[in-house]
Amino acid sequence: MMKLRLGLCGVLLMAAAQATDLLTTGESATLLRKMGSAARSLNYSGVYLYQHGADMEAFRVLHLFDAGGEQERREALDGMAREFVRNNDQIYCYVPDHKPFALDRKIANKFFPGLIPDQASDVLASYSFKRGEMERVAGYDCQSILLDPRDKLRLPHRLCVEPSSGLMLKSVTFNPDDHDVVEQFAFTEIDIGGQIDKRQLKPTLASKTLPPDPAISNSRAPAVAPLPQTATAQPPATLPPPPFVAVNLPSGFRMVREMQTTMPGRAGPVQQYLYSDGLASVSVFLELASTNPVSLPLKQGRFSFYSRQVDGWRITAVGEVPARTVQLFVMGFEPR
Amino acid sequence: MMDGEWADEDIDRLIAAIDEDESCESCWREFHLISDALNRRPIMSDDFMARFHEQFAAEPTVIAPRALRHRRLQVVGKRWVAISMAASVVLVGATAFYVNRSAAVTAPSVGAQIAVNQAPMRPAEVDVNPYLVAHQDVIGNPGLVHRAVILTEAEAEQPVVH
Repeated sequence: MMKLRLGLCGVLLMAAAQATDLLTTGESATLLRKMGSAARSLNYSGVYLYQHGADMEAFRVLHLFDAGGEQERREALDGMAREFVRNNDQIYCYVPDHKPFALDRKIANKFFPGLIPDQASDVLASYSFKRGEMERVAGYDCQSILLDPRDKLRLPHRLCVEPSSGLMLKSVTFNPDDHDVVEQFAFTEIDIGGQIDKRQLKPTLASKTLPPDPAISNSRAPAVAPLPQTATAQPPATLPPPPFVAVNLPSGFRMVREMQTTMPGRAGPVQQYLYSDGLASVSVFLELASTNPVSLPLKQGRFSFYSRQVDGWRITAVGEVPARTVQLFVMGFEPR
Repeated sequence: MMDGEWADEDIDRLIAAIDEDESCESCWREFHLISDALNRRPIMSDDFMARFHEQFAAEPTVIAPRALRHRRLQVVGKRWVAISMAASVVLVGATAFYVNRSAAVTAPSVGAQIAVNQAPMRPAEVDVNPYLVAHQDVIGNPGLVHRAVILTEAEAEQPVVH
């Protein structure tokens, strides 16, 4: 009997330890705003690890916010040398022996620790926020927050936020079934609020061709600047308007970009739609089918795939979401 | 006896003796387990499989990437490596059993075992890299941009397939 009581106490203690505190919508929205603001308007410098599948890379980031706005240099410490230099809305990528190229502002705004989307409502609609235990990351105490999907069409995220500043120190996306990490960002060292020497923000990989003078750039500059490889690709053939209409797509996702892109091995352009729920994203590709029906791997790393051919077109979806989600996206495109 | 060369009455006597001696029975089980593992035969003991699954489920989830796991393995003593290898043999044996049973293959290849372990992958008839690159180009991430640059460069040199 005593053993039974002790066992029951143990179970209750474990349950209490794992219990999480559900945040209200208002609290969640406030937290998102605070995290977004911290990533944008704080000075910080540090090193973080980016883990995806079996690969891991380290980046050093220096971020300065002053009267001139936001400046940042982000440097890859592993593998091929790369630098990402930001001056407000303009972000340039530097790689050795290449001309620097501009990145889409919408893309670069999602660099860690600024992973929070502009539209907080997107995230709030699809995820519930639960307060977890206090953790310790890079020498700072931080509050664990679980972003629990409201359905099975997306993956859960666990964030760790430094309470006083609101800066995200860690972000983990994991598989809800086996709790395996799908993707993870985590600072290993960070200094929050310190002085940043502006000389450290200049690119060290700058080659002969330099980006335009930041002083004459402004936020009205074109938001989209393609990668050089895309720009030097063969002139695209014309793609007829895809005879499809998107119906009954997974809830919580909305289209954030629509473009025609060129892809290696393709004679003509491919129509690409990017959908996002604020955290997870799915691309849907529409192209003229040139071969018989094909099969793709259902899963590769953290990406899920699904493809089908309809009326001479191939519809393919890829995203960091469960396999069922990409399947629903593909099936959601129906002939007009 | 295990090679089938004993008479039935001799086998009965031995089994009766084993039944009466607990240590002998334990020895008998271990002997068969090792034999099954080495010969990649199915693990016949339900009790063993139950205990194996129980211990496997109780293992902590390792979230570190495989590269780190490999580094950890290098510092672990040979004794544990040997144990791991033995466990692998048992697992391969069990896998081989299920492949045999379901696919009626008498001698499954290593490839077949790997295929079982990697289910539910389908054969890739289409290169998914162009989709991945195009997707990563627009979702943004320093690491991903790096990959997109490299992949796009490498594949841009390939002839376009019409």
